[in-house]
Amino acid sequence: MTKKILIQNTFAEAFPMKASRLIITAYSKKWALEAANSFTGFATSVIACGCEAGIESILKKSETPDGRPGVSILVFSMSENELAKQILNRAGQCVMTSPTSALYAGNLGEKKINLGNSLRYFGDGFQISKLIGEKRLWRIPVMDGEFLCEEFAYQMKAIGGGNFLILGESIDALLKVAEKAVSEMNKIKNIILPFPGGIVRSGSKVGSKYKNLIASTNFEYCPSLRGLVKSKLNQKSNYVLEIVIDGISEDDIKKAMRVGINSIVNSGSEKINAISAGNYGGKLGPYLFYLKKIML
Amino acid sequence: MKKVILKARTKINNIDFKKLSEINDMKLNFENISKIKILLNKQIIELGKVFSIKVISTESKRNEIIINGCNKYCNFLGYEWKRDKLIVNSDVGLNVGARMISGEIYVKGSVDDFLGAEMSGGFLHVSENAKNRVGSTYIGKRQGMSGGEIIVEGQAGDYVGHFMRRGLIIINGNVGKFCCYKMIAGNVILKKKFESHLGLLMKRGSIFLLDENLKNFKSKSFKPFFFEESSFLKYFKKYLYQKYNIDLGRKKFLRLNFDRNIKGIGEIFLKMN
Repeated sequence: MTKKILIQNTFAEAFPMKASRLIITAYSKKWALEAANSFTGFATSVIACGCEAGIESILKKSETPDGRPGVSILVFSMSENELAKQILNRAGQCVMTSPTSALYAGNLGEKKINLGNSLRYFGDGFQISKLIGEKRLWRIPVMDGEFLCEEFAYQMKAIGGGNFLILGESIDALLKVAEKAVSEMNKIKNIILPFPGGIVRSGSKVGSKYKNLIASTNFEYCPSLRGLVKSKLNQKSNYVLEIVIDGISEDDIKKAMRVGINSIVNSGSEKINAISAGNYGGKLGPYLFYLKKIML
Repeated sequence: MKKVILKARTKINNIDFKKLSEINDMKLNFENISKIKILLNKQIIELGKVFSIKVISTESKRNEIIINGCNKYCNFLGYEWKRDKLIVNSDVGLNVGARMISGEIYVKGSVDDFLGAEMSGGFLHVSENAKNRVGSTYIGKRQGMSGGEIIVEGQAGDYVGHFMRRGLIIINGNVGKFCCYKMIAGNVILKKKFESHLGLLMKRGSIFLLDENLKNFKSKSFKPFFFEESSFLKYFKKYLYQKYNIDLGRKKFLRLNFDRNIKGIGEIFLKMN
């Protein structure tokens, strides 16, 4: 008999962000992924990374602009300027440097973000601009040929901070169900799970006793602090892991949460006690994702 | 949207259709269209007196103007054309689609000089031949085609893409002399042979030769080298295939830089057989 896992009557709280989709292609899937992993590295949280980024999907040759293997990535940030800065820096240092890579915008929008328009200067006068159809591309000479880069990426509205918590008795069981949930959620378009392997253990709350810190540990869910603070964990819940979701729309995040939670609930693992969510009493953002409503 | 069918009432000579492009901005009905002024044998005359006019409502996304009964003495068709679709079911004369802004023009026949000269956008298709100066500048000016796309199914004459700045020209047949003379940028695809002086004084831009031989290049000012695994070529190939069903093939291209006599960094891609 499998155990019924409790879904707590609470909600996840999310906030508006700016995002952009980029498409990286390369000679092989391996090199497209190398560039994408480099670009999205150190982009787990806007708290200190400047942006949150992740691989949205692996693209078939037929789905990419140049017919080569590719990867679609999503980049999220709190402000327009920071998003533009992060994309440009990462494009220049992580994609342009990666062998055989090319970089294209993956969405359209009114607000432009410089890509090739700025990176072209690396060509030192030998760069070539090409207007193909409606798109302008920059061909920048590099040592393995040319780095092809679309002139602009485009900003779109997005939501960051969708989440749910998995409360369990053993780290082994917790990791197992969380990994399975991440694997299912990664199949969904328009979302990313920005943390390592899609899972975060250091869930945070807003603010700190130290005035320079904007976030600090979410003590209510730290098992080692039971007895010291007002904890939300019972005696059996010795471990908590969180899955954070950034998405393009509310529906995308709801869908991802539903798929992830379903995966955990359906596992029926004896060592998983409950699913909860991180919120700040509605003070952080306008998007509230009630777990029970999502699962209806 | 509306479909407008114009048919010449009699054999016509020496018509200037420059003002026909007012049709792009007017409410399409018989009265308005028939009052458009055209120049027939240097005399201003209303369109309705020379052409029969039929206006039909359609569910098409853009207005469609169909002209029947023209000939090689009908000039300036589609001059500064925008948005609408123009179909000409005959040969036409000079300046077809010149200074075109947007929309589409299809000529089911041949055209004379200055096809798409100084055009800035839109799509031009000629089912037969075009004479000189396709997508070029007007004489004395220094900026040719600056956007849009031209396809000529037959042959083209001299000075194709003269001072061309942006856009795409595809010539399925042979071209004449001085193709891409003083080209500034843009893309030209030549599916057959060129006569002489290809890319002379070109500064930038790309010419794709699909049926030529390196021996035909007399200039010694370039060093050819193979250009493989170019993401630009792959992008361009996919674009052409998806939009026009043109297959540049999987064979390698040899790249020549042009015109090094003026320190140009244009490029000629030669498809290897």
